[in-house]
Amino acid sequence: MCPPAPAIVTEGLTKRYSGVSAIADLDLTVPRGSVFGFLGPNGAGKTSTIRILTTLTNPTSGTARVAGESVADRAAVVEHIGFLPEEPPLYDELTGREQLEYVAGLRGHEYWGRVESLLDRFDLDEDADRRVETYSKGMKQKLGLVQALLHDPDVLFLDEPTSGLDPRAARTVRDTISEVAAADTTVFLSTHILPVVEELADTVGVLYDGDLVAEGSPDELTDSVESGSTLEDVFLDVTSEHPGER
Amino acid sequence: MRRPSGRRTRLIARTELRRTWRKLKGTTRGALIFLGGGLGISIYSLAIGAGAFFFGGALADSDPHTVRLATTAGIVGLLGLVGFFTLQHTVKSAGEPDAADGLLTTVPYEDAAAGLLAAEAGRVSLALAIPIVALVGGLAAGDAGVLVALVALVGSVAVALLGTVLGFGLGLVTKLVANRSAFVASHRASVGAAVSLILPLGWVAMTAVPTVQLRVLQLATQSPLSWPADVVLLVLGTGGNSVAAVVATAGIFGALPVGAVACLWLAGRAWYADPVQPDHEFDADERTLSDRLLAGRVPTATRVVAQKSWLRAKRAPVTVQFAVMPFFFLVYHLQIVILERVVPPTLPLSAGLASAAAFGAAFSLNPLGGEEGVLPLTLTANVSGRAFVTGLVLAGALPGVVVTTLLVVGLGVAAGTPPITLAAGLTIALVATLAAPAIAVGTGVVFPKFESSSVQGREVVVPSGWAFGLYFLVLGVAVAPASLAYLLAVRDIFAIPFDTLWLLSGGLVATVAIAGAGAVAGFLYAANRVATYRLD
Repeated sequence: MCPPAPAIVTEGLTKRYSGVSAIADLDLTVPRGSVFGFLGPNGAGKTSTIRILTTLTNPTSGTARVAGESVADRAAVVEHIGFLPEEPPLYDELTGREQLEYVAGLRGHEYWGRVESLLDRFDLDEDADRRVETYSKGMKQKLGLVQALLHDPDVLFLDEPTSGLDPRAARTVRDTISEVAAADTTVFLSTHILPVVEELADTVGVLYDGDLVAEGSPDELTDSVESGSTLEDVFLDVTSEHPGER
Repeated sequence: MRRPSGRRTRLIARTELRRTWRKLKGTTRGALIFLGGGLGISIYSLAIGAGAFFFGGALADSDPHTVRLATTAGIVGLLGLVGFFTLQHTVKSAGEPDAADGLLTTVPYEDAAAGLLAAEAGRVSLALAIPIVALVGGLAAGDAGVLVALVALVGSVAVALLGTVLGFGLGLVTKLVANRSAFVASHRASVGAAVSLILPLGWVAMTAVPTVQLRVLQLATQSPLSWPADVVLLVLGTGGNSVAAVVATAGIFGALPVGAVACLWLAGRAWYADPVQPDHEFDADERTLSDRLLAGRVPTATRVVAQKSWLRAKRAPVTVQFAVMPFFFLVYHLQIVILERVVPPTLPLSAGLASAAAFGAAFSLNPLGGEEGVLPLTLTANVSGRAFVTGLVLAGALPGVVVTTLLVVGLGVAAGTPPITLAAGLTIALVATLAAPAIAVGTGVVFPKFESSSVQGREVVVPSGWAFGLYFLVLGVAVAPASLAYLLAVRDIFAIPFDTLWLLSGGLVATVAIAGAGAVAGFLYAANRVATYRLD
């Protein structure tokens, strides 16, 4: 029997802005149902990669497929993905519930039934009838995650999902990521919080200056530096000017 | 409340003025405002200087009543002008520190408020410096004399500062009411419409009427506002009440510190007040009017886009405030209504077209930029470009049809328009109302705008000026044939060699053809652009 097709595949993916390279010749394969931790210092090209994979930006060259669909075909890709950018895309003027009703309406009303359970799960049910502009950063983050999960996507892109969350909410998000991954959803997780990646990711990729400088399971990566090292040690090593000399 | 620190007040005021200067210098918009404002002020200053030079002496020799009238007009005009602009600026931006959390945890709020008030006074002083110099110079160099010029200098500076304090205080009161009033919070759309459309339109129409101006001036001359004229009369030696002069002088100079203290007190209330946010009761089974109108008739995605647009506009009218602009073209008609007490025959169609242009622009003129930070969601939410754009068009067209019909029919009946002409006018306006949002989405994607501007203290992405220009041009070309035919039908400009019905029909056919072509082209282009748009 053939193994299932990977959730994300990129080949020679390159993105340049005014001649400056943001991503250079990126080859990446993310298996279906896995959690892929995407690491890299600020400006490494993580956001550009996510924007290409979510069809928000065109690559300069190279190809990428998400859930088997080419990123050039937005209509095909967006059926399969959920996306939570670093700044949750919410209308300040709507209430939390109206925001979710809006997204459910855009995607097809059969998802309306999931709204209540997700609001309850993320402790947002009490505040669902308040305007988004009155929400704290953490509440906005949770609401953004709920709307990304509403249609039970095949691939979930999360950019700093635990940023600004209190410990309980952060735990809820981590548990949710584990659950959706167990239910065969692929999670593409970009974050600076390395313990989150260490806890959740099946595979980790480290992007540095647009290049994928390390890839493997957290154990493989930590073993590659020296025994007893952490993911932070790996990150610092592969993103320094002279790897191995840190 | 504590006494503000002079050092910190000066520091804050200096920093604010420096920021204002850099905003004017560093952006194209700022440079245009600076150049345009500078040119306008220079022209007015020349006129003021010349007027003071040539007529100052004649005024000084006039009878006491004329001197009182002229002085009072100057005081009311200056006080009203400075007060109005300061109020507006305070509500919009100057009434609150930009980085409030940082500043208010660094210095006492009294220092911050005093600094902002001083900065506002500095801006007003800089803007009025040239006109005041021109006035004083003209008076001194002309026949009025140095003493009158000196009184004019001290008086105009004092009145300008009083206007600043008054406007700043009223601006803070406005902010406080807007934040704390449950009524305002629940009726933002109605209040927004009144503030942005009815009040300014009414004000412009009323103040243009000489009888109204004269009545205001007569009332002012019978009030304490005319007492400073006694100072001028005493200086001229042509009469004047010395008690009134002393009270006026003490009143103006006493009101300045009292007003400033009131401003500090108000700032403390306005800045630390918890804003009222009405909760929205949710009933899963409740069907709104728009649900009943649209559910089952249009695709769900289209319906929710239209409903989202209406909800945003209702709760934050400032996001669509720009769209009321076409109604300001009706000022001339309104003046005729007030002065002559008749409804001009062209007003029904003009009002209908203004309504069409306004509703067309409100939700559709910036389809991409108007989504603000939610654009990534919109583009990845599995909604087709056509469904999304149809939702925006529907958001403008549906209420537009209702308002346009009410305006055209109501004003047409009031104007005594013949039924056939009225029917033609209504048809033209409705064609424009239906075509306008589709034309707007097309021009909006040709010239999208993503940068926000501060409108009434809130960052809002308003459509680009180029999109506005192109939209008005296309809509104007589309409605021109039918509007011209309507004009010829209601006004005897020149004899036309065929029947009115044929004239109106011909104009209407041409307008339907042009508006239809523009609407289809705009809609299809916008739908395709939204579907394929990338955030590069």
